[in-house]
Amino acid sequence: MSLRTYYVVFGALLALTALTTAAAYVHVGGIGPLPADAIHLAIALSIAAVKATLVGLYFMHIRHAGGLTRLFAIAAIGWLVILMALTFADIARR
Amino acid sequence: MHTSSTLTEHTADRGRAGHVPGLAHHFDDLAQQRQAGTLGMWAFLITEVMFFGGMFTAYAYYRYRYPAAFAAGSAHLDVTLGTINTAVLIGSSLTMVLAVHAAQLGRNRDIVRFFLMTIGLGLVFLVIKAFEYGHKWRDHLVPGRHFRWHGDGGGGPVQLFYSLYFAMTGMHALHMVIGMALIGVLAVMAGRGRFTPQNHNAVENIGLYWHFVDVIWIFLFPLLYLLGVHT
Amino acid sequence: MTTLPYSSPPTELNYLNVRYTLASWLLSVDHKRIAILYLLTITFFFALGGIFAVLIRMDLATPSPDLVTSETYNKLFTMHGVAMVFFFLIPGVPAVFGNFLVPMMIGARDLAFPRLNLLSWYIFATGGLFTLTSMVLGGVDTGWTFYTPYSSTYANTHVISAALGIFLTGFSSILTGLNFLVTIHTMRAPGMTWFKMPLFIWAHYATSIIILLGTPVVAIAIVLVFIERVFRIGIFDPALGGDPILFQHLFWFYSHPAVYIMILPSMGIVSELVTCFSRRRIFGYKFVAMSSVLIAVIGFLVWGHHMFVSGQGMYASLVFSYLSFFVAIPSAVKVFNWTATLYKGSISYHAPMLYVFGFVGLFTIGGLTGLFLANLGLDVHVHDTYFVVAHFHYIMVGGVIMAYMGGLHFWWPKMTGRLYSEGWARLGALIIFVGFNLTFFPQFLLGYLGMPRRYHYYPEEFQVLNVMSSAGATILGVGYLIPIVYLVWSLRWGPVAGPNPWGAKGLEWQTSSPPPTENFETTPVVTEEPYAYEEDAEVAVAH
Repeated sequence: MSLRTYYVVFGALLALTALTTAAAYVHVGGIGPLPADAIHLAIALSIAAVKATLVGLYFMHIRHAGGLTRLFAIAAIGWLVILMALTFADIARR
Repeated sequence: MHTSSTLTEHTADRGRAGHVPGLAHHFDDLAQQRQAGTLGMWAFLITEVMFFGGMFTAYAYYRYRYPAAFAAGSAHLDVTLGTINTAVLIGSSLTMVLAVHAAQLGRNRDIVRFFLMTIGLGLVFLVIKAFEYGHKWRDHLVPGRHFRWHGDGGGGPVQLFYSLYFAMTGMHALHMVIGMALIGVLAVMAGRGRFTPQNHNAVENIGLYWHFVDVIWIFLFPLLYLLGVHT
Repeated sequence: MTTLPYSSPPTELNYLNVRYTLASWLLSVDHKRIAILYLLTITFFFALGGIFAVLIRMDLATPSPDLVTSETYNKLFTMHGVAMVFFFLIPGVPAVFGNFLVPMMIGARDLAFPRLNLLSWYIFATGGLFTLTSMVLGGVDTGWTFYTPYSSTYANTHVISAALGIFLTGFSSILTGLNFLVTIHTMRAPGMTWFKMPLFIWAHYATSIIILLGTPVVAIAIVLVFIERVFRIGIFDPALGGDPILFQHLFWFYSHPAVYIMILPSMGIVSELVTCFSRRRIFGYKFVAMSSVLIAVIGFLVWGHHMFVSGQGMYASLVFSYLSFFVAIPSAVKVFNWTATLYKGSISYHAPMLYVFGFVGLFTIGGLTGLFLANLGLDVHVHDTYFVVAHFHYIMVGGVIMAYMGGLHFWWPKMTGRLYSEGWARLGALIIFVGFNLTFFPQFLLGYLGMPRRYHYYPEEFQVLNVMSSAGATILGVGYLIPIVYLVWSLRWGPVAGPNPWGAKGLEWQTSSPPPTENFETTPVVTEEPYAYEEDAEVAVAH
C-alpha cells in the first residue's frame, strides 16, 4: 500500500475525530420514539465504526489480506454480538 | 474455508531446506512461517476482542440501566484532553504503519525512527491519561471509600460508571505499556539490522497489535467522554 | 501378544532418550515432551481432586455431618470442582493428547509455536501453584463458579489466589488453542486436505475455536471480581446498583462452552478408536466433522440454561431453553454415526474399545438427562439438586474421563514404546464402568427425590442411595489406581510395542514408537482418506 494512502487515511481519522466531538455538542431533538440520547449514541458509534473500519482495512491491511483473516475479524465481531444480544435478551425483558 | 487451497499450495514443494536465516526448524519455508505468525496474531486479537468485549458488555448493560447517572458521570470527564489523546493515538498508528512500511522495504534505520516516534506518542498519551487520573482522584471520583458524589444520578450508579471507566481505560493503558515494551525490543532488533523484506513478521505483528489497541480507544472515547456533553 | 511385526532396535534415537537431564525436559520445546509434562501435572491435579471427592463421599455416607464441618465441606466441594474442572478436565485431552498428536496426525514436525507451547505449560503450572497456595492456606468456599457478590465481597476464604490461578490457567489454555488453530491451518502435510484430516483434528479445531472465543470472557469476569475484591470498588455490587447476574452471564458465556472444550476432544478420541477396533471407515465422515464445528457454535448460544432460577428474565430463559435443545442434534449425529460404524465391523474388545463403549453409553445418558435440564419447567424442579450433579458427572466423568482413559491406552504404546498388560487393562476398564455407575446413577434418583447439592447433611430416607454412591466411589477409586500400577509397570517390563501395534491408520502410526524428535524421517505424503480400514478388513487387531 502506498504512503499516500496512509496519509489520506490518517487525515480522515483526524477529521472523523473532530466530527464526532463536534456532533456531541450539536443539539438534536428526539426522532419519533427515539430520545435525543439514543441519536447521539447512534451517531457516535457509527463514526467510531467507520474509523475502526478504516484502521482495519488500511492500517491492518485487511483490504489485502486473505479470506481467512477476514473470517477471523468477522468471527470476533459476531461472537461479541452473541454475547451482548443474549445478555440483553435477559436484562431488557426481565 | 475457501482459503484452504492457497494455504496448502506452498506445502506442495515442502522439503527440508538447508539453513535459511531466520527460519525455525519446524517450518518448511519463510512463507509458511510468516503465514503462521500472521494467523497467530489475528487469533490472538480475537481473544483480545472478547476480553474487552466482556467490559463493553458490562458498560452497555449499566448504561442501559442507568442512563442519567452515566451521563452525569461522563460530564466530569475532560472532553478536550480526550479528543487530544484520540488524535495522539491516531498519530501513533500512522507512525506504526510507516514503520511496517519501512520493514517491507528492509530499511531498518527507518523502522527504528518510526518505532521511537510511536513510543513517544504512546508516552504522550499515557502522561495525559495520568493527569486525568490525578484530577479524578482530587475530585473524589475514584471508586472505593474515597468516592464522593454530590450531583444527581445517584452515587451508586455513578460509581459504577467510574469503576468501568477505570477498568476499561486502565486495561487499555496496560495494553499500551506492554505494546511499547515490545516495540522497544523490536527497535533494538531493527537497530541491529535484523529485518529484511522477506522476514519482518514481528514488525507486522506488533503493528497489528498496536492498531488494535487504537481501535479499542476509538470506541472508548465516544462511549466514555462524549456521553454527557449534550445534557 | 504372539506376533510382533516390528521390534525397534534399542539404540534408535527417539524423543524420550535423546537427552536425559531434567533441564532437557523443563526447557524442551518438543510438543511430545510438553505433552508428557502436562500428563504428569494434570495427573497430580486429578489425584488431588479425587482425594477431595473421596472426603466428600465419606462425609455423605451418613446423614449427619460427622467428618467435617459445614465450612470445610463447602471448601471440599469447591476445591474438588476447581481442581477437576480447571486443572484436569479442560486441559486434559487437548494439552496431553492434542499436544502429542495434533502435529503427528497432520504430518508436521511440531506445533506452529513451540516456545509458546512450553510457555503455556509454565503458565499452567504457575496457575496451579497459585490455586494450590489458596488450598494450603485454608481453601476456598465459593463453589467452582465464584458467584458474586459472595466471591467479590463476603467470602472470608482465599478467593484471590484461587481466582488468579484460574485466570492464569485460562491464559495457558488460550495459548494451546491458538497453537492448534494455526498449526492445523498452516502445517498440514502435502495431500492432507481439510476433509482428509482425522476427526481427532476436527475435534481439536472446533475446541480451539471455543477456547479462543470463550476463555477471554471468563478471564475478564474473573479480573473484575478480582479488582472488586482487592480495591473494594463495585462492578457487580448490588449496594451500588450493580447486578450479580451480569457476572453469571459473563461466567457462563465461557463456562458452558467449556463443557464442549472437555467433550469435543474426547469425541475426537472416540472417533479414532471406534474405527480402529471395528476395522471400519467412519460412517458419515463429513457429518461427524461438521457436528464438532456445530457443537462449538451452538454451544455459545445456550449458557442461560444455568440461570433459569437465578433471576434471569423469563423471556431470555425461554430462548435459552429452546436453543439448548439444539445441542442434542449434532451430539446425536455423532452417537448414531459411531453406532453405524460398528455395524458389520470386525469388532475387537481391547481395553481402549471397552472405554469407547463406556463413553458412548454414559455420554448418551448424560446427554439425554441434559435435555431434561434444558426443559424450563422441569429444571425449576431439579435445579441445584443431585440430578444436576449426576447429569454433569455422566458427561464429565462418564464421557470425558472414559475417553481420556481410552486415549491413554490407545496411544500409550506410541508415547512410551511399550505395551501394557491387556488383561489388567480390561479389568480396570470394567471396574471403572461399574464403579462409575454405582456412584452416579443413585444421584439421579436422589436429585429427583429432592436432595439438594452442596449440603453435607440430609434426611435419613436418602441414606441408602448415598451409601450406594459412596460405595461406588470406592470402587471407582480402585479402578483409577489399577491403571497407574500396570502403566508404570509397562514402562520397564512391558513388551516393545513397535510402530503400530493396533494396525491402525493415521500418520502417527507410520513412525516409530516412541517417535523421533522431529516425528517423521521424511515428511509423509497423504494419498488416502482417513480410516481406510476396509482394504484389510479381514485382519482384526492382531493380538
